[in-house]
Amino acid sequence: MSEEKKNSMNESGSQKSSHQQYSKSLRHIANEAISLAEDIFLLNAEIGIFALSKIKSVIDRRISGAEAVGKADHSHMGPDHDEHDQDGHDHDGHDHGEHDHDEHDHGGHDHDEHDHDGHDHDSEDEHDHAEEGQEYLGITTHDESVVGSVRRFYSGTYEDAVEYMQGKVKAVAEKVAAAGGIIGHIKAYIRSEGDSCMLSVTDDESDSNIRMYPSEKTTLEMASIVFLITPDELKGILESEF
Amino acid sequence: MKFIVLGGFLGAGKTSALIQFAKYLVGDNPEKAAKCVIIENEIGEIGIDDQVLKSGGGYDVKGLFSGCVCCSISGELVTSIAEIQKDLDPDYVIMEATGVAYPKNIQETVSNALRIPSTIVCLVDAKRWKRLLIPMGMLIPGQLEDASVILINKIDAVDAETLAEVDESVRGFNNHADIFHISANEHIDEAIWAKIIE
Repeated sequence: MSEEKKNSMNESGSQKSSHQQYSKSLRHIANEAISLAEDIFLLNAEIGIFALSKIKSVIDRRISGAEAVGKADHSHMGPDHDEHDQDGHDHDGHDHGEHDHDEHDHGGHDHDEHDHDGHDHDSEDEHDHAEEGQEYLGITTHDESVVGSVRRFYSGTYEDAVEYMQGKVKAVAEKVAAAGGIIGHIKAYIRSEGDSCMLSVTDDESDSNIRMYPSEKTTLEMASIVFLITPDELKGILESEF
Repeated sequence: MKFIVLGGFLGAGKTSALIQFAKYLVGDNPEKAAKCVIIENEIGEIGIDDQVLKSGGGYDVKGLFSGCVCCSISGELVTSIAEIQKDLDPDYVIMEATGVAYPKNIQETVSNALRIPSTIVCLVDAKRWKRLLIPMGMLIPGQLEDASVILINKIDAVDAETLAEVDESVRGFNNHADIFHISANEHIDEAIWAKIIE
């Protein structure tokens, strides 16, 4: 069998396993949801009905999310993943060469089979794609939560970056709410490299020459942890803003 | 080494409270300062809170990202605590859990794997409590389970009637914890921190 075909089959198996895990996760969520609805209904019929409608919405959304994830190469939805071709070598110009999934070593440890006290999580969480110093936009899931992580670089003053990010945080929050989602927490951190200067002398008779380099590179990072929207929906929202 | 698990739902104010707690433990006198390590866990791939915490001083911060130590990366937590104990031998380790963690799971992991007892402190967001209780009906009450201290935060953002309702609701899920009202944006009474570490 050719190496290319082997790679293709391995990747196909990995996708299937990931999709199976997601389906398992959905079944677990559905069971928990039904149990919750029963408890709530016993306490208060009106609230129970409301809870049931919300739970149905959650399950519907997760099913559509699972379908979206099943269609993708990986449930981990970083930009480089979407550009994969079957042999995993075509990164389409993205500067993330070291993120080739075919080279990830799972060491025979099957994350998909873990059961952690009822918690379901994206099995690829443990891979570090958001490497420091690189722009990034990725989505992961953990139980009911959908987590978006973004890193962008901003050219301009620190004050402008803060204002820019304030607008983005608000816009993401509004779009999540408009999509019917619940905002767990959206938080951002803005970090400036800081001013720098170079001192130089060429003889011992004159003062040092000072050359100032004001900082114009600011790193913007944002984590969005939301509920009741699909990974695709959150990814779309973040991509529309960043 | 005293191990404290700081839990509570997303946005409840864990990091804001933690900054004050850590400052209390470290104190103003470097010679008498307690050695404190914060383990910051975030489910996102990019850590935000650890950067906020690192901007403070007098304590060490260790970040654990891309998973939840109460379940998916519990092994990393055990390894981290063992390393911290060996390398730094701190007086206090404060574990800030993710907003979707069940602190009791962390307590059990640390107890079973390392035989280290822990205290659970749980933050509650008074402003969003009623709104979140139905959609997060298992998670939020589950986070209160076995908490020794519950800090009902953002009391400045709710009226007295709402606060009383939150109190009653919280008490319905945990009737043995000490409950305190705080506003983490303002100074938190040091007697609360003293109670936690007593």
